Order: sequence, then structure tokens, then C-alpha cells
Amino acid sequence: MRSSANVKSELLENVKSRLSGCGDVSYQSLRLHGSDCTLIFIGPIIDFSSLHGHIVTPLLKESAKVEHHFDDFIDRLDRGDLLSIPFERSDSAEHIANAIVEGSAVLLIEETAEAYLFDIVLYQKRAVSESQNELVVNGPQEAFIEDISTNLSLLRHKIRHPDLKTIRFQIGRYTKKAVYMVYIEGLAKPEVVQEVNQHLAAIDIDGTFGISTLSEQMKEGVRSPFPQFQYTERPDSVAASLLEGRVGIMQDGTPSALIVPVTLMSLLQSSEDYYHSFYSSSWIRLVRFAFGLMSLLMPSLYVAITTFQPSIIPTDLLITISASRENIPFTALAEALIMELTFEALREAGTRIPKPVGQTISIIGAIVIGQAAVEAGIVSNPMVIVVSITGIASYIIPNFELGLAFRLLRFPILILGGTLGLIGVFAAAFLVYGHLASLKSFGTPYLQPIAPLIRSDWKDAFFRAPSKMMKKRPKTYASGNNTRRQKP
Amino acid sequence: MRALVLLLLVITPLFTLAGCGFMMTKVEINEQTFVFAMYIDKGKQPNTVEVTISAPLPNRLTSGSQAGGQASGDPYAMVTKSSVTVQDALSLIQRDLTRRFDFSHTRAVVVGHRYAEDGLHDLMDWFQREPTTDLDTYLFVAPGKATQVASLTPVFEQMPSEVLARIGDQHNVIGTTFLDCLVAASANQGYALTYLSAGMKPMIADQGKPEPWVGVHGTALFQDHRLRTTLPLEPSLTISWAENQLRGSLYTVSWDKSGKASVYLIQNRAKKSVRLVDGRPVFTIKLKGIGDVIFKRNGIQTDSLSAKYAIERELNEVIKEHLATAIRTSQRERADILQLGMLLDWNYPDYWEKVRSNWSQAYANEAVIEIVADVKVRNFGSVLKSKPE
Repeated sequence: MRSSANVKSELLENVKSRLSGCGDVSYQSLRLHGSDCTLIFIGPIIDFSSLHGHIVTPLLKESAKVEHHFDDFIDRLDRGDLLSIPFERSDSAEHIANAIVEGSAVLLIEETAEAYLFDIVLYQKRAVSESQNELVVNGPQEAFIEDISTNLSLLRHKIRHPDLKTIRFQIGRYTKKAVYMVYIEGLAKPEVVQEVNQHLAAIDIDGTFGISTLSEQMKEGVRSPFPQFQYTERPDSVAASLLEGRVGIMQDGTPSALIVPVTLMSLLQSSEDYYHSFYSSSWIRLVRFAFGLMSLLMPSLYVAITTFQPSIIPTDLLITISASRENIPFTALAEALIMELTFEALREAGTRIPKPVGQTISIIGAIVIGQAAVEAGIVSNPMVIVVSITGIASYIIPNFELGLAFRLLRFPILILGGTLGLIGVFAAAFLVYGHLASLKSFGTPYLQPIAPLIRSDWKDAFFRAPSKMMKKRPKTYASGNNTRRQKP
Repeated sequence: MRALVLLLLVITPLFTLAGCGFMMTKVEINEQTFVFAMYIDKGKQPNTVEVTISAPLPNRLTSGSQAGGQASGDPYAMVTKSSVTVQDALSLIQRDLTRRFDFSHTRAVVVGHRYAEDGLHDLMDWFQREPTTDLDTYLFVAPGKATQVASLTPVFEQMPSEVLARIGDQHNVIGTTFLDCLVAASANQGYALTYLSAGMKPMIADQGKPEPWVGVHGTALFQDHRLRTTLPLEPSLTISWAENQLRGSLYTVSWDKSGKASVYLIQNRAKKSVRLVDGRPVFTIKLKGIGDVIFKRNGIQTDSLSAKYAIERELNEVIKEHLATAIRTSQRERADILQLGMLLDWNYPDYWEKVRSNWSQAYANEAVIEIVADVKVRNFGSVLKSKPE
């Protein structure tokens, strides 16, 4: 008895020394059946009502009953007769200390060699709120939050099937974040699941906060400005992607999930597309493609055409443009660069500025870009129009990362267009196209279903066919199981 | 090496897509002057040509509050120089100008009557060699000097060049472009250009002051780039019809002494065909059309149906006569203005090879041209009888 008590106090001392300097650790002393016990936990991250209702109160009540002996008590505790809450046992001080910082309450009993670990973690979290960045008019509004169990519950709420697999990883030497790979067995390609699995298992870093760190760790060489992962904060997006046979990655502590593999088409689609009639969705998609292209090429085309090939501008338009270009001190290229850079700066400032002063940016932006620059004769009106349309166009792309890639590529293309003319623009467009064609995301060609061509997937590419017509799952992310509906 | 070949393969189509050569030169839009119209005359010295260019002044063209200030004066400028060739004259003009020429927006070229009589060869040569020109540029003939046309007062438009371009676009008579002329001349055939009229007219818009006014007079017939003769408006319109260019034409016919009706053509088409009869080409030009009666005064015949037939008969007579006049004139001047030779080339290539070299002779002497007019009156219009008879 003595020896085990020594072991016990030694274990307590070891745990204490490991947790020294952590002021938020609480040590609560209890006396159960005449034995000294210590309850160790970190107050801010545990559920107090569980601690008291399911652990402390039953133990004290039990201890107050005189008919049981101490040994009997330990026996019943070990068997699980006493407490309704699941626990594990450990005699490793390191394991115990880790469990405590991860949100367990630990009960050390003087006479026993092993400690009881109760996982009653409860982190502070916000309520599930509406999606802020991926807005839809119809359709579900809820968005992921930082808490992984809430997120998993949101997902399980959408897909209630045992084939929805959630594989858990722990990533980050210090942060020890839970990362889940979610997929539907039988729909997801086993190779993709395998690849993601390998990648996640191989990640070894100090910590991750945003999920983009994960994606950067997984990207096979950072060779492309185009996103090879799709970020989303919408559970319905993740669920729909899983049903298409894609794989999701969710991390504790971040409200966005990753979806792989991605294609250019999937990045240009919004979940809204599936919540409206297929006529309007198809039309909106076409508009989106047109403006997506414009956001990439419009300023460079404008500069190239006005400085190299004014012959292809309709005469009346030419008069208008040349009338407004009159007295502008800069070349069209310089003008475009100035405006585009100003616009980028305004956009960035608009994102970062604290909300109470947010108005300032829009006022300054509107006055500086819209009015003063033109009236002072520094930039011409058509250029303002071009830059504004481009600015709007870059926001029509539903995927923010893809919009960023377009914004970035716009500048080299603009410079090429301003120096080489239309040839420069076309060459740049060819290069971008070639790059996209050679890009792969987890084995899936980026331009699929356009190149390589998969006719049947066009039903959900440029247009969206009525869902009755989409009997087959997209072959782009194909696994063996392709039929959505058996009935005709 | 392989990558280099691939890169070349990728780059090559770009040149066809984006245009190459001179298109690679970068000129800011406000460092160029876009010549909208050119006026070509015979120079005062023998063997010289007087070239006038007309270009817009963007800072005087009001475009919102841009460029500041209210427009004052004409929104276009004209510069005239004489030299031995068109190219020389243009180069002299360029030397005086602060901006570079660009002919890609030249919509109209007007040649003076005397210059046209001497031949447009030099002009055509310049046009073919100048890379920025547009083949769809309209060509007009001025009754006197081309510069007289240049000084016209644009009432409905901003610039004289716009007036001319619209006259061509609307097919007021015949919108002949450089392309048409070059194609016709390359096959030894003639062409017809719009012949303008110029004069002074009091303008209501300008407090009744007399201002130079330009209208259309008819057509000018060319053979071998030389002006042969001109045709008045009515025959000219049938030529335009035969070229399928005519739009919205009005004919007024009378019958039975007091019967009179105006027919507005809402649809007109022409079909040309050729056959060889006894070794001579026989051309048939069929003018078809549908018209609405927009004015009618009854003659002796009060029966609507017979009046309709009478109108159609008279109408077809008139139209046929107009075209016959035009064709007679063109045959007399040996100018195949309807490019009937093309038809022959297409249908009887062997025969065409024989007559090609002196087609203008053959056109005048050998060709038989039959004219069929087939115009139907569709809407006769209903008239309430105020006095029942």
C-alpha cells in the first residue's frame, strides 16, 4: 500500500512538474473513502457542468455511503459502474499532462498506480452563423465555425450514411490540431483518398492555423498561381462535393474546409447555381465565364488595341476614346498600370480597414478614382470604365483564390499587351492556357471536362442541366460508382 | 530542340491571329490623326495631284466634360498639298503635321471630276500599297473639284466625312468601295461610283445663310479607272437595283391620262444570268420587287384590280426603260459597270478566256442584254369613297 502511494505521489509530482508555469491548471483535492485524491484540469477549456454533475458529485455521493470499502470502490470505478462518463487510464506522466492541456480532467487517487482521464473538453466557440464570404440567396445559409466537432456535426447532418468516412489526423507538433479527411467510400477515387492520406500523414510542422498552411504543405511543388484546392466555408458545398466523389479536409480551429481535387470549372461554380432554376443558373454561369475572361484580359486588350490596332475600333467609339485620351500625359499602358495598382491598393485597404472607418475608403476611392483623376486629366474616362468593369468582373468569380490568381496574372498580361500589342496578349493567353492544361490537382486534369474532353460532364460545366438529367455522377472525379439514379 | 519547335508552333498562329508587321508599332491614340476622308483633285501645275485630308480634332469633339472647354469652331481639320503623286502629297502633309496619319478609319475618298477623267490609277496604286487602308472605303466623284465637296456643311452629322460615309452606308445611290473598283478593274470591267452634286443652299439651321450643300446626282461610269460619263438619278437607281444595293425607292407612274400612283418599293432584288446564243453572250437582268401604293389618284378606270394591273404595267415599263438607258450608255462607253463579265467568267470560262483581254470591246459590240422588270404591287391601300359613284 505504501509503495503504491509513493508511486502515486510521484506521478502527481511528475505531472505537476510538467505543468509547472501553467497558472490556469487547477488542482482540486478530494477525499474519497479515506484516500487523498487530486483532480487536475484546466478550467477554461473544460465543461464544468460535466465535471461536477458527472464526476465530482457521483464520486462524493459514493464516498458518503459507508457500506462500501475503498477496494470495492476502486473496483466499481474501474468497471465503469460508478460514472456514466467514459474515461481512460494512464500511468504515464507525459500522457496525463498532454491530456490535461487538451481538455481532460484527471483524477489521481492516492492508492492506485493509474490516473483516470475524463475527456470533458469544452472550448469557447461561437455559434454557427451565416456564411459571410460565399453568399447565396436561396439555399442553406449556415457556415462552418472554428470548432471541428460542430463542423462535423454540420456535415453529418447533411450526409447521414455510414459510408461517410472521417479519418482523423493530428497535425502540428505544438498545436496538435485535429484534422479530418472526409470522403464517401465508394464514391471517392481510392487513389485520391490514398494520396491525401499520405500527404496528411507526412506533414510535420510546428503548427497550423489557417487551413491554407495545410494546402501549401500538400501542394506538389508550388508551381502555379492557380488554386489546386477549393476552400469553402459552406457545409453544403462540402457535402455536394463529397457526393461528386471528391475528398474534403477539415481542420479544427478554422472555419474553412478544403476540397480536392479541383478543376477550373468547379472553381467557377457557386453553390447558388444548384438552388436556382437551371435556366437562370446556366445564364449566370455564362455571364460568369465571360466576365472571368474579361477580368483577366480586358485592361490588356484595351491598351493593346488602342495603342497598336486602333483600326479595329468602330469609328464612332474611336472618336470618343481619342477625345478623352486627348491631353492625358501618360501612355495608355502607364495609365492602366496606375489605375489598376490604385484599385488593388483600395481593394486591399478596404479588406483590412477596421469597420468603423470603412466608409473612408469607399469615399476616397470613389472620389480619387472616379472623379478627381479624370477631371484633373490624369486618366481618361474609358480607362476608368475599363478598370471598374475589370474590378467588378474579378469579384464575379465565386472562388476567391481563383480571383486572386486572375488579379495577379492581369499585370504581366497588361505589360505584354502594352509593349507587344495584341500578339503579347494572345501569347500570354496561350501561355496561361497551356499552363492550365498541364496543371493537375491530385491526378485530375485542371481543365477537365474541356480538356481532356468529357462530353457527359458538360451537363454541369458551362451550363447546368436540370438535375433530372444529371443521372450520372461527373466522370471528372470518377470512381467506379457512377449512377446517381437508377430510375429513368 | 523539341521544345523550341513546339514553341514556334504555338507562336506562329499568333501572328495570324493578332496581325503582324506594321501592327507591331506602338503609337498612342492621342499621337495619331485618323484621316476620315480624302479629297483628290488635279493639281494646278500639269501632272500634279492635289490631296486634301480631313481629320477630326478630338479636343473639339464634345465628349461629356472631357478635355475641358466648350467646342469652338469646326471639329475637323483639312490640310491640302499638291505634288506629283498621291504618296508625295501625303508625305508633304505629314511633314507639316504634329501627328501620324492613320488611314484605317478612312471612310470616304472623293475624286474631282477632272482628276477622274484622267484616271484613278495613281490613287489605286497608293491605296493598294498603303497598309493601313480599309478596302471598304467608299469612293465618290465630285461634280467639279473634290474640295468643293470637302467644304460641305454637315447638317445632321458632325463632320463632312460622316455625311459621305452615311451616303455610302445607306446606299443612297450606290455604295461602291475600293474593293469593288479593284476587283472590277482587275477583270477588265467597269464600275459605277456615286456622282455627287454640290451647290449652295440656304440652311434653316444656320439662320437661312446659304451654305455649301452636297447631295447625290447620279452615277459616274468608269472603265479602266477612267471616268467615261455620268448618268442622271433615275437610271442610276436601277443600276443600284441591279447590284442589289437599292433600298426604299419610290416610283410615280401615271396611266390613262389622269390616273397617277406612287409606289414605294419595300423589297427589291435583282438576278443576273447569262447564256451563249450563236456564240454571243446574252445577259438577262431581272429586276424583281414588291411595292406598296402610297399615293393613288384614280383615272378613268375605277376598278381597283384593273388599276393595280395598270400600275404594275406602267411601273415595270418605267423601270425597264431606266435600266435600258443605263445599259445603253454603258455599252456606248464600253464600261461593263454591272460586272457582267464575272458572270460570263463563272458560267463560260472558256469563252471568257477568249474575250477577257478586250472585254470592253466585246461588251459594247457582242453582248446582248435583256431586261426583265417584275414588280408586284402588294398593298394597294384602301380608300374610303367620300362620293359614291
